[in-house]
Amino acid sequence: MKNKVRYMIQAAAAVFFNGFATGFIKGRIFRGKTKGICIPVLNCYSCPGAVAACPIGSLQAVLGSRNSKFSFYVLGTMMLFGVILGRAICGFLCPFGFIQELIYKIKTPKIKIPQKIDRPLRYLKYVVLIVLVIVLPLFLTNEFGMGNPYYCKWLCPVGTLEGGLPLVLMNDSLKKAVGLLFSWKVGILVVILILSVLIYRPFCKYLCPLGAFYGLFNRISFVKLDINRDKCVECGLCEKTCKMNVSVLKNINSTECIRCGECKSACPKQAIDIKSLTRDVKSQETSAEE
Amino acid sequence: MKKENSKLILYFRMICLVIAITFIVIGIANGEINTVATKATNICLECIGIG
Repeated sequence: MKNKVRYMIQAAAAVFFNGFATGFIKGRIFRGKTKGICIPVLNCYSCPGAVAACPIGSLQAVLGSRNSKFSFYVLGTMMLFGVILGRAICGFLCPFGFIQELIYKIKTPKIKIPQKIDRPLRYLKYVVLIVLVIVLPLFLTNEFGMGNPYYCKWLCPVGTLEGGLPLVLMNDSLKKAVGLLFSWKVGILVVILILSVLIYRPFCKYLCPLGAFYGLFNRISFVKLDINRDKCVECGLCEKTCKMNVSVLKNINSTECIRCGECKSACPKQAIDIKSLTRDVKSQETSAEE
Repeated sequence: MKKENSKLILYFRMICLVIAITFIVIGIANGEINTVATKATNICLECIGIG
């Protein structure tokens, strides 16, 4: 798939998930019934345009609430999206991933993080998922048994970009309430955006808890990549092209693959294809019968 | 070998799919969707860096 088509899908998804245009004009958020529905991407529900709920924010809201200590609805929704699409969600639907990709297009020398540093850093997003999204909201609670959304509060750059900045700019009461926390969050956002000029999708690679969760489903998701070993000449062009630094030849459905399809486009032998596993099993059964 | 592996993945995928749908149904029955909606229809001060 050509990147242009993917960019168009990403742009359409960003508009679709943030379709409440009035919110941006009036500086308020959408309050309709669809706000209870979780979308597959990291998209702050305090963004003036957001028409549905961010799964990571929702997960913390339920885990940190007084009544529930397990979020069936949000986890089920995240699992469903993960099983169907895996990290194709990151590659095709996530607005913040799209923003990082656009910034990476700025023509500057790019940094390739050495594998020794890159590998351990990739696990950081799992720490973020477990500690900030699950453990702290569950156990670090106030006297009423309610926990804060620690990830949203201390780390999430999406909330600052989509929610914080537009709302603060358009509301005097919020402007007056700005303090050290806001400066901290703007600082994080600025660092991530600057890093995005030099490194491909740094937030997705190292910090995104939702990407970490979906990555766990990459091997079993309906949307998968497959190498035809009969066609492959192991030239390694796919691995050189992959900006997520996936070892395509060894593990094409790695937890890091966002299904952008650049390896597929780069392959001179058309050995890489997007497949559903059902089709794969059927074709193998047919060839075995023959 | 590859066939067995593919079938195993297929079964695992189906199990995850069933669990996911079951979780969603239980969650909706528990009223979790209201908790999410309540949170999402009010400005989340923590999310925007105020609270």
